[in-house]
Amino acid sequence: MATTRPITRFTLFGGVVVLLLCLSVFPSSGQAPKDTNLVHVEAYASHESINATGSFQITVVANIKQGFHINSHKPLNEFLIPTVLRLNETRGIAFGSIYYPRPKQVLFSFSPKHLSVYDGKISIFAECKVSENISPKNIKVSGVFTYQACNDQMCFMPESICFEIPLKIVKAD
Amino acid sequence: MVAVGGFLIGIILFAQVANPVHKIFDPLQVKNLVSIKQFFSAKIPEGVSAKVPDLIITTIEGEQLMLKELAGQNQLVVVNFWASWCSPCVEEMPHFEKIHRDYQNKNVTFLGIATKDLLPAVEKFIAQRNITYKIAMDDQDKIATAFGGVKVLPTTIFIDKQNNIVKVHKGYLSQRELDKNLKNLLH
Repeated sequence: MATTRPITRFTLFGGVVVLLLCLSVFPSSGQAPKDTNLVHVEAYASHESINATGSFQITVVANIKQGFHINSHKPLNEFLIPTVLRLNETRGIAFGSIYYPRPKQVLFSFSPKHLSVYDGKISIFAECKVSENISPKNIKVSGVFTYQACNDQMCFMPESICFEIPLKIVKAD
Repeated sequence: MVAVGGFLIGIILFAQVANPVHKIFDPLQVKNLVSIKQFFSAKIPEGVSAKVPDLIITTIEGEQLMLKELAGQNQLVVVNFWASWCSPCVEEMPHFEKIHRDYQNKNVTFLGIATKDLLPAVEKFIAQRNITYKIAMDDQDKIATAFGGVKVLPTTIFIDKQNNIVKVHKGYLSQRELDKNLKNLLH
């Protein structure tokens, strides 16, 4: 009895070690990565506190996983799903132009035609203005980042990521 | 001995983690150990049953197809999940069209399943590209769900004449690969 216990423990330990090795050797064997891991989005405002009547900028930073791309805001093909930033209507805030980054024209092995895409880290900017008649308070600006990601072999379902940015409206000087 | 035991436990735990729903490794059923080879060759990936689902598919032209009956009629069936917004899908469709025409007398049925797509876009696309094989919409994900879920496009499923799903290919298929797969299944 005394000898079986350490062997059992050792066997279990061996199993766990092999399991960890397997997971590291075959991280995606036969499986596609989950789409939510492909693009990570963060949104910021240029100021934490904004005067009534003041202007500010919203920046949405999207980190696209290495080896993947998303369509640009203006894809070269009418059927492709563009990357779009939408800001939800917020009382007292007027949204201006949205500026998308310059896309890359890339050739992939499956196609003789270039695709207009974003990869790596991209930033999208939106102009915003606080209206005169808003009283000082804390508000939230929210929006949706929509994209459709692919790699050089396959595409993933279109996704939308919602975000919220807390803002403090202060009295104008 | 200890190392072998550890390795086997590791493999079993790994299989359960990777595919907890379908439990393809049951240590009590020795015959299932054969599926280790299948698992690592990824012939039938997670979420896909080995038998054709009992499903009636309506094409965009209104034709109703019973998938099990189709495969049972001595037909090899190739189901391709695609979308008009998916560039690799769009690029491989001419391969399917060519093979569909070439294999018309060889009991091979091609079925394109438009996934997360809109009917006007699909109709416009197939008219532009002269696609003549059967196309159905899956806007409610019912067909994809019946096959265990389709997470990437294109996904191509090969079904043999005995109603078995014999191969699932995720990603772009070249003309040569498609031809090779069909020849292997027809012989």
